Amino acid sequence: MTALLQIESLSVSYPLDRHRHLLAVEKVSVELPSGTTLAIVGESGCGKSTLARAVCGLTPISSGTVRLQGERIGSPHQPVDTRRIGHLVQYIFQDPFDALDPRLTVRKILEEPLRYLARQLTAKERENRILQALSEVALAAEHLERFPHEFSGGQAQRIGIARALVTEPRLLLCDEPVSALDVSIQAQIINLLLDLQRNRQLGLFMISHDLRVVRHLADRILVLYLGQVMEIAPTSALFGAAHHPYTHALLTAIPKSDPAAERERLRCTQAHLQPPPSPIARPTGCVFYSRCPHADQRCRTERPQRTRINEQHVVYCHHPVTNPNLSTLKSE
Amino acid sequence: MSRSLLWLDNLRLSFCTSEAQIEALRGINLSLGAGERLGIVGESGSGKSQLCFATLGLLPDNAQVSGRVCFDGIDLLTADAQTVQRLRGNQLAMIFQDPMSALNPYLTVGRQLTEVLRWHERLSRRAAQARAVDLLERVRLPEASIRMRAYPHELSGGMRQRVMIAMALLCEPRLLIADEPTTALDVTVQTDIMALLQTASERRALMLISHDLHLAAGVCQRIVVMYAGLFVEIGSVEDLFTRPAHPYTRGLLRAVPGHQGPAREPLYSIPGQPPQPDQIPQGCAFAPRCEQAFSRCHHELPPLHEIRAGHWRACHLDAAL
Ligand SMILES: Nc1ncnc2c1ncn2[C@@H]1O[C@H](COP(=O)(O)OP(=O)(O)O)[C@@H](O)[C@H]1O
Ligand SMILES: Nc1ncnc2c1ncn2[C@@H]1O[C@H](COP(=O)(O)OP(=O)(O)O)[C@@H](O)[C@H]1O
Ligand code: SF4
Ligand code: SF4
Ligand SMILES: [Mg+2]
Ligand SMILES: [Mg+2]
Repeated sequence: MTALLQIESLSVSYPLDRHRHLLAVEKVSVELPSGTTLAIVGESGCGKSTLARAVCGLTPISSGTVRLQGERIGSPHQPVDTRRIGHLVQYIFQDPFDALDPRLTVRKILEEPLRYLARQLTAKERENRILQALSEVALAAEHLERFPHEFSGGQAQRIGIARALVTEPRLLLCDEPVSALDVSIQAQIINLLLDLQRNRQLGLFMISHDLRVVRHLADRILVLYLGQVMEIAPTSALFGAAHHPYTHALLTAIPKSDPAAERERLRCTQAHLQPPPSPIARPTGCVFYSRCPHADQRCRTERPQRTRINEQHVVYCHHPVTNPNLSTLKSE
Repeated sequence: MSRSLLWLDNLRLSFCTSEAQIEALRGINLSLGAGERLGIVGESGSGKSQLCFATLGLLPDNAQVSGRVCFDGIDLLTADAQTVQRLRGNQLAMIFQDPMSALNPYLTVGRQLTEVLRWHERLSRRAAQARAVDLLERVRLPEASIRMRAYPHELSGGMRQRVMIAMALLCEPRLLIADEPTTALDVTVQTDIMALLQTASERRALMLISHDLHLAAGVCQRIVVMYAGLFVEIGSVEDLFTRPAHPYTRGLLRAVPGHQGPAREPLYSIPGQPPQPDQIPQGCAFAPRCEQAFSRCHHELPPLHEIRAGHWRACHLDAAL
């Protein structure tokens, strides 16, 4: 069975000036089977949003290809045509208020994508789609004539999700959809996404920096660092048997549920992870070299290739470890 | 009460805007001992930041305030401006969520640190310089002496927050207030900053605002849960985690993903949303969202009362539950 989304050796670079460019995503390959969730994790600036934006045509592809349901929809020579595939792939943003036009009513906001992406629909069909999406996100018809500022953050995110649903997409690109929300509201939106996925067999491309959220939602996780894949594994394998030193660093950053354990975790924090090196001046070898406790000469000069742990689990590292000694993680 | 460093007595704070009357703090009572580390958690809009500002004697122009904010016996709400200024300079210090809002973008890190030292402690330039570098090393800013010459925008978010903490520690305050100091930072850096706060608060009192109960629990001894401008539960970290007594606290703990419950199954979630600040319901403000609400909850405000030594709750439910 072909995957819903296939990303092959995808690179994206942003021109900075006439001579320099910033390689934000480099040779990323990953698949997302239909109806499943792929989570993208990594520190800010590592290229998560760029990857999602390239998939739906918001950012041009520098090299590599993107396939949707087996069909090539994007490459450097063939920019993603949003008019053609936009109804299948929709984007959900972190800040719902930023993403909603404050001058438009909810009705107008939900009509907009249909006007561009589903022009064949009759007025009646449009209305049905809107009401259907609205009820799926648990908003009522009476909300249709209101403006975004009349809603709370959680409700605004529901509107953002409804807007993504009206075109009946197969894939939702969720860019930190719950990061701006309070815990009690966050759980509501997570449940909503799980429901939608089940009912509509949606693929979720889920960007999040919160590994607790990811652990609950994702089937598979891609760990990104400085635009490159470090590790891809099923959720249980990533939490139970991660192989990349950077993945281990992320895992130890998760607050513990038990206060005594959390106190101990903070006390043992001797590893002062500094921000990654500038993406403009990339190291020639492993990009994690400057912070890695297991780095050796080879890591400095030679970029690690993909190593298969098993069919589902890949890691990009010369010295994959399952049980690292993290207290030696280097500072800058 | 005589031994507490900070004592809030029926603190109320409201805003009169053209559209509405907003009650941000609706009667806060708190006693914080010297050297005690207190965590304050609650949803956005529950009044956490206003509580910090009021504790520093900083009140917005359109605010109306009543009650008492006593720091070391001095009421900051009635003391003269000079006294408050002096306390804020060397006894109380605050760390903000966004360090950029508190750092001067036009001055180097070194200049900002040394100026305060020279002014407050009348140190010579060289002595101030040495102290500043020493402090930056204490907050584990890499290459501290080089960073002295950096402007805030040249530093990463995590480094800026370290500088902010160094600024706050400059005069060795007795109370450190940190308002969501890691919310804007990456998780990896968040752990670092929390560990730093844990060390920085070893010889002083700490008021740590956080919307993450688990993070606050790692640093604090006591936790307060706020809802709609009121404390709804106070207790030791152990109390709150092993026997949370308020339905809102229980809901918050259960709603955090990734800790319990099978993956991909629905998470427990608190229904509804916090009230609009100008439309706080009568009675228990949590009643519209509370699964255990009964008629009394809708018209009678539950007072905060002690259900076990040191463990307080504002709820009408039978304490035995
Ligand atoms: N439009 C742009 N022009 C130039 N650089 C950009 C642009 N958008 C993002 N970047 C850079 O690309 C890198 C990846 O950014 P982004 O994809 O937003 O990361 P993330 O979403 O993981 O935080 C960062 O270094 C960022 O500064
Ligand atoms: N200057 C102001 N004028 C009017 N309302 C304000 C002002 N500052 C804060 N508020 C309101 O006071 C309430 C409490 O705010 P705040 O203390 O910032 O909450 P928190 O920090 O818990 O998110 C909010 O409803 C907020 O909108
Ligand atoms: S390749 Fe070397 S430097 Fe890179 S993560 Fe692996 S051990 Fe560390
Ligand atoms: S007082 Fe009533 S509504 Fe409020 S938390 Fe207790 S049971 Fe729920
Ligand atoms: Mg992003
Ligand atoms: Mg606040």
